[in-house]
Amino acid sequence: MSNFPRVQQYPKRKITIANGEGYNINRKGSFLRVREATAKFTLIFDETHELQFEQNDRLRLLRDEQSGEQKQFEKVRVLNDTGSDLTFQLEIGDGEISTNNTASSGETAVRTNPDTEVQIQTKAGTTLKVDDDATQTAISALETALTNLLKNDQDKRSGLTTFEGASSAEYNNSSGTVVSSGANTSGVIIRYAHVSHHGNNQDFAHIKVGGKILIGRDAGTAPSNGNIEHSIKDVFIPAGVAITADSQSVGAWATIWYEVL
Amino acid sequence: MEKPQISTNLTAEKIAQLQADDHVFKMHDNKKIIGKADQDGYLIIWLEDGSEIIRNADGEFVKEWGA
Repeated sequence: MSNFPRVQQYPKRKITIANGEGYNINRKGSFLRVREATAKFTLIFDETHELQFEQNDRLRLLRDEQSGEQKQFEKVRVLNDTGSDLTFQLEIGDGEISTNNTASSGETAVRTNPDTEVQIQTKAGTTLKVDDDATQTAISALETALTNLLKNDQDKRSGLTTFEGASSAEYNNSSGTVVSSGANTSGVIIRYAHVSHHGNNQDFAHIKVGGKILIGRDAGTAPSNGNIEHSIKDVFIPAGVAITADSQSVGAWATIWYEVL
Repeated sequence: MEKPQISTNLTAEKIAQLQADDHVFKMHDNKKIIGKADQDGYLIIWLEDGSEIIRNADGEFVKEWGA
């Protein structure tokens, strides 16, 4: 006897049975695939084991771990419990059969048609699909834009710096709280900040985040006689962290553009 | 919004020294501005005579910060 797997279609042509009806297939096998089915339905193996199937579902019995003998079912009964007519056709066979396709069912099902369509059915039954050229083009454009943004390219990153929706603060020989820790409930983006000072080491300016210097210098760390220009942009400050600014002389400035989220 | 604070009250001698070093003070009501803070439209300036001028976000001069 040939060891090549034997698979045949049952019935030979797809048939339709009414709701509540059954259809018996007296065929031994270790492999079964639902070639076509218009709805989920129940298969009863050897009048005992009931499993729910839908189109493209597969079942392959394994070998017995102890004896190595191939397990088989003796017969199959199709039970139409769909609530309406069921049109179906099965493939039944035996032997060592495996395919490179995978079908799953349950809360989430994914069905693909090569190159053009992906459908995802959510638990709630909503079908999400990408099946038209316009959507594919939009997704490709979005992918390109994201790729460009993620590149460490200063020209492209500069597009992130926008003052739209941003507030500003400026300090000269003064100090203040730009955003208190209490007011920073959802984070702050520092769009742009700049400090400069000209003079001795007591003429410093800085911007601090959480009490620590972000840019600029503190007393004793500024040059004894010279100029400092520091700037920074597009920095996200987590919620709950205060931003403060300090300028200690008329020759020192701290400027910040920021967006409270 | 907390009221900003002036950092260094400049003496007449310090102001003269800064001017000698070519620092140019902006003026308000013929008084030198020795400090400034602007927080989201709220502005406060400190003048050489120790007084302060406060302007709210609508551009109106007010007596108290945050008014």
